[in-house]
Amino acid sequence: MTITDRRRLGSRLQMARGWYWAFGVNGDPYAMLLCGQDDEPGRWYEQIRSASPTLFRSRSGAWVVTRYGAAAQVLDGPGFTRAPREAAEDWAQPFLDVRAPVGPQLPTADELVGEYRASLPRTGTRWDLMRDLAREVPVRGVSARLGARGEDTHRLAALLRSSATALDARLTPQLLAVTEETLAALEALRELAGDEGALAGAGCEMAANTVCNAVLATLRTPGLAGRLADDPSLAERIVAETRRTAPPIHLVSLRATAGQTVHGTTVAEGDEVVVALAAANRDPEVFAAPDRFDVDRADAPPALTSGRGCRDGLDEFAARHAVAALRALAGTLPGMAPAGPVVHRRRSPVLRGISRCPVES
Amino acid sequence: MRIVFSSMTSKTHFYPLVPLAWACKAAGHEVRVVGSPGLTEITTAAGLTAVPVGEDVDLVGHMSAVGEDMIKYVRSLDFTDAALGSATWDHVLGMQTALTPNLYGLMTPDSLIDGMVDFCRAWQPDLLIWEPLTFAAPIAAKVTGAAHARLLWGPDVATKARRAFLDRRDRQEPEHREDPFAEWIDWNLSRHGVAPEPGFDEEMAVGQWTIDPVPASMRLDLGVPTVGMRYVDYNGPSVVPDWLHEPPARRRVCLTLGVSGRDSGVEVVTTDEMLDAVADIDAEFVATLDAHQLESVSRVPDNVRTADFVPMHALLPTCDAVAHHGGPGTWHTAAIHGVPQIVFPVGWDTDLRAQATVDSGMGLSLPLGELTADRFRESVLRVLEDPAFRVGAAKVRDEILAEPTPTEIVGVLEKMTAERAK
Repeated sequence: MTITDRRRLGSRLQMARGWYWAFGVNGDPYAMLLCGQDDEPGRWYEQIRSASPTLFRSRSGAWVVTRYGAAAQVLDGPGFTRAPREAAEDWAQPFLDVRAPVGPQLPTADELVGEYRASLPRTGTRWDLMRDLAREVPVRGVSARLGARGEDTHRLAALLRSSATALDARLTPQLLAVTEETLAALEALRELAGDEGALAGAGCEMAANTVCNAVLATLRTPGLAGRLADDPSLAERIVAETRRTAPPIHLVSLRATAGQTVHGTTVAEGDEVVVALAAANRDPEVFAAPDRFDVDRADAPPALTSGRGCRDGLDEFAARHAVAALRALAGTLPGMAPAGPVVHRRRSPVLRGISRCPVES
Repeated sequence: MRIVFSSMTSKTHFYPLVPLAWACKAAGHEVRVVGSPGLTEITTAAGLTAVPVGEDVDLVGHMSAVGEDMIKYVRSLDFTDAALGSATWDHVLGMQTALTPNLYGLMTPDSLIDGMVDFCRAWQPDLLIWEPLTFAAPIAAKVTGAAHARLLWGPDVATKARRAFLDRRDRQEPEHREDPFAEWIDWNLSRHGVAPEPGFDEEMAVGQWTIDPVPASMRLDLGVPTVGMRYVDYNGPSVVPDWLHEPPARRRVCLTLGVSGRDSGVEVVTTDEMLDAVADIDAEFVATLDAHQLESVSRVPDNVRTADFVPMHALLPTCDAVAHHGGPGTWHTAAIHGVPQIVFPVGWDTDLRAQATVDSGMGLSLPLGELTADRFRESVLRVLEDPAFRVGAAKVRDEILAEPTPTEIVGVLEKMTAERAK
């Protein structure tokens, strides 16, 4: 079902968001997480984890998984599907099929490093890591791949940017104007490049956020920028740790195809189960000092990513961009510093989008 | 002039409009009451002309889906200066986010907006007067170019919260600024042909001016253009029972949960416990209890008279005190008759009204969290025995009586409407 009536769509979006907000204020941390009103989601993950020794049931109806073992069980398990739920909220319906099993083509690492090097702003300037670099390179690559030239490149870049909200929009209501813009962009991209087009914007946004998060983690971790400058191959480990602490996708929504037990909880057929990847990746029973950004973790299991059990390549796409960006920036980072607060997108519980990240180098 | 009065389907919200509607009619203006079909009977019972439009709100469906959650959320809201002054952006944005669809949008459904706009396009009113939650009226006024004014029924807490919201919003990163209320109004304006620019303006939230029956000293200072009006006690179709003709033989206390309080099931102390608590007080208690409430009462003490409905404007002048949940109808009716009050505030504006009751010396406040049978009994005795409360209540009464009557402000409305039309 698609809502064609503008006011009905607006009302449904506002109503759902209003409910989430009220549920959240009344004590439901997952509802508050869905509102996406914060820069850092950590406290909501903690509250969800401590609210129940088993799975947490949100007033929204979803079961929420925050433990590493249970998350792996759900992602790997045959009893769950990512296929759209027929009963899903009407406002979310248009976004449910955006995550199709076709991913972006992965560029070679060396090519990408060159791209990032060529795009680096001059040293001695203030610039925006998101606007001038992290968003720029993936979008340019996808544009070229889709065959855009000249003026079309700008239009395509705008469409990719607008469509990126889709993965957030399926879990939490956006503003009416944003929703309409995203829907229009998805339609235009589908016309241009089919399912790959619909997914491309999300891929670019995931790559941009991961680049930004990896750079920020490097800048914020004492000594790390210097180590990377000495040994650019450290980029792989920095990105691996970034995928653990700030995965390109934070929440994966699945549906149980059969009744089953997960982490001591009986989940019924048809129930929504949301895996909070970023929370599971900070499970204190699995990771020592889980909130510490530590590229030297020994014997730690791999970070859970949304690509587990769903090989759409988006995570790898994001990771490859982040590695390339770090390698290109390796010599610059020791002299680089934040030049103002990082502005995080609101209503972005899935991608945890970053709007701006001013830096100087 | 042609004047539309507009209210959501609620007696409590509609009754305060009635005396002014009649004053306008008596002054020779044409008056229509436009509302959802559920308002029709209430309107015609008041002798006014109803224009039913659209469909009734599915309150039952909404209440069963999220009613408990919304009631819990709304009760958690604190509109005091201290709370709003220190409120975070998230808190004040949250109020706009939760209340716009779940209260404003709910009580002003699309069909009411459409019907109001269609009727106003056809009938071409000069002025719309609306109770503060019926935003179909300012939308229709904006679409048709009519003047519009808001008639309050209590402290303007929604505007107070909105002011705090606007103040915080201006300090957010540009990407984070949003306004759910303006968003809602704007898509409604645009589908009725009003261009996105200028679209919404703050007048649509508060009216071009505000008609305020709250005693002047208790009004919230929000800087909105205000016309003070004396509260006139219209309590709906009223019949005076025989027993009320006789002057009471001893002190009389009214105990009521009001019309809407009955429906919201506010009860932390059972009716039995409350009646028991006053059984030995030397006074006559008149408890307004409907048949359903009476079912839960096992024993009615000798000094308690129960009645289903007694018009407050007939009962309260015979009373020495009244205890109630702080609803605007009961509170104002007691206030204009100078009757000391005990208020059990239940959230929204009732907290501020209860505080004003205490501050003005006209009575006491017993928040639900503090309400026990013993506290109730103590409060009744205090109010009955300390003459200071009657002095405080008389002061507030005089303040209300000093305001112009509805009849006296009709000329002001004519003038302000003419100025707007220029």
